[in-house]
Formats: sequence, C-alpha cells, structure tokens
Amino acid sequence: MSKATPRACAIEVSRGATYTRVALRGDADLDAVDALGAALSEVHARAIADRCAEVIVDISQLEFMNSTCLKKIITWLGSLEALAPESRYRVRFLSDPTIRWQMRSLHALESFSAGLVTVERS
Amino acid sequence: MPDYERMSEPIADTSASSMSAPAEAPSFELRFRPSVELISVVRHFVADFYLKVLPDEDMASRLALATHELLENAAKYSIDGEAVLQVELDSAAGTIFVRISNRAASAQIEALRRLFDEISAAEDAATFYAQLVRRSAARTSGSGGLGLARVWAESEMSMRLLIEGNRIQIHARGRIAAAG
Repeated sequence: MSKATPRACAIEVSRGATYTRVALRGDADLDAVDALGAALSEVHARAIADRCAEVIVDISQLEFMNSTCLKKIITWLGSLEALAPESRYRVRFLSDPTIRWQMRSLHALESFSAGLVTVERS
Repeated sequence: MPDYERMSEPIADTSASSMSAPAEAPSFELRFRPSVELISVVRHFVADFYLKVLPDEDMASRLALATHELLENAAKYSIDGEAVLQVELDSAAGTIFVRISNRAASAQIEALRRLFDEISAAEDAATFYAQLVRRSAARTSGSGGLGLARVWAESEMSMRLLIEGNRIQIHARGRIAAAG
C-alpha cells in the first residue's frame, strides 16, 4: 500500500569479516540519487581494497526506487564487471516479494556476468 | 510485434475533453510547477488513485511506477518547469490512458525520437529493458532511456510519442483486468 507522505531514503553500510552490507530503506527517488551514488562508490572502493568476497544489498525495506537511482546501481555493477575476475566480489540483493516493483525491475540485473549478481527473496 | 506506435504528426488536441471515456470515468489532470520538487508527492497520490480504481494491486503497482517514471522524465527535461499529467480509466472499455506533456529542448526531443525508433524495432519490452540495463552499465552519465524502457517493460502499455514544435507528449495506453 502507498503511504500518504514521501519517505526519505536511508542508507546504512556495515561490514563483516568477508562481506559488506548496504541497507536501503524508504523511497529512493531524486532526493536520494547523489547519496546513493556516493555510498556505492565508497562501498566499491572499500570492497576492492579489503578484498571483500560479497556485498549484500538489502532492499527488503525499500518501498520505491526510481530509474535514476537504479541507474546508479547499474553503473556500480558495470564497474564491478569491468574488473579483472580475480578482483571482483559477488553482489547479492535481498528483496521482499511483497514490494511488487522489486522482482520486476531487478530481474534484469541478473543478466550481468554469471554468478556476479543474484536477487534473493528474503 | 512490439505494442508500440510512433507518431510525429502535429498534436491535435491536448485538452482533457479529447479523451473518449465516459464523463463518469475515474480520471484526473495535474498541471504543476516547479515540477521536480513535487514528483514524490504526486507519485503517492497517483499510487493511491490506482489502488482505489483498479481491480488488482499488482496492476496498480505497475501503473504507478510507470506513471512516476513518465512524470519524472517530463519534469526533469521540461524547459519551462511545467509538466502536465492526465490519467483516465475507462472501465467499460477496459483501458487505462496516461498522457504526459512538457516542453523540451531540441536535443532531448531528438533523443526521444531515437529511443522510440529503437522501441519500435525491439523484439519485446523485457528484452529491450535488459538491453538498456546492459547499455546503461557502460554509460557514466545520463540514463540512456532506461526510465522509458522500464515503463514499457513494467506497464506492458503501448506507447506513442507526439511532437509539435518543442512540446512533446507521451501517450501510454494499456488494458486493465475486469473487476470482480
């Protein structure tokens, strides 16, 4: 269901021993574009430097994402795919099937190199 | 066959009265500026409208996202800060009609022409969307039409581009499931 008022997008980054977790909540619309781009750039740089095995992107509480924000994610994945295979890390999206846009819009992300990107229903 | 047609003929009539649905059909028209700041507010209104008048939530979700993307494109590229959105549901005919209009710079108009040419030549909406995703990955700036490809893939609506001078309209029309 739609809520009556727009919700700001919250971006939280945390790190484990072998992974980085990015949690997105709220609405990723035009107001979130710059922050999302900056966060993903930082995550990418740190993941390479730390030889991170996996980046988990938790969008299970992300109610909306516009195409401009989606483009930020696609650009990030393109940068990842452009790395030498030994420098790459895996990206796993945790989605919520009850948020209807997620599976439809994110399915195309699985077209990146085999095994590089997976979309899971949480 | 792609469910798409492209028109570059003059826009004959941009008024709500040109719509063909019965007078009691659920509909609204929004003309607003400055547009970008209001997009998220309008998106929530549009989502609630669809949830109220459409028979299933999945369809409402798809149409809300598609309408938002059309609106955001129009607002971002409007040269005078104004965008006009019209939505009309014809329950009897089983159709939904979304029309978005704005004035745009010539470069944006040409980019839209090229994109609609690509859409008309595309195999299907899902394949085209996947291709745009891959193409976007190699671009450092601009969306490369990702939003409209998403609209086509998400909404499964037929789309039409109309251009008259610097005014562009995108018409999206789709089928809706019968209630009950």
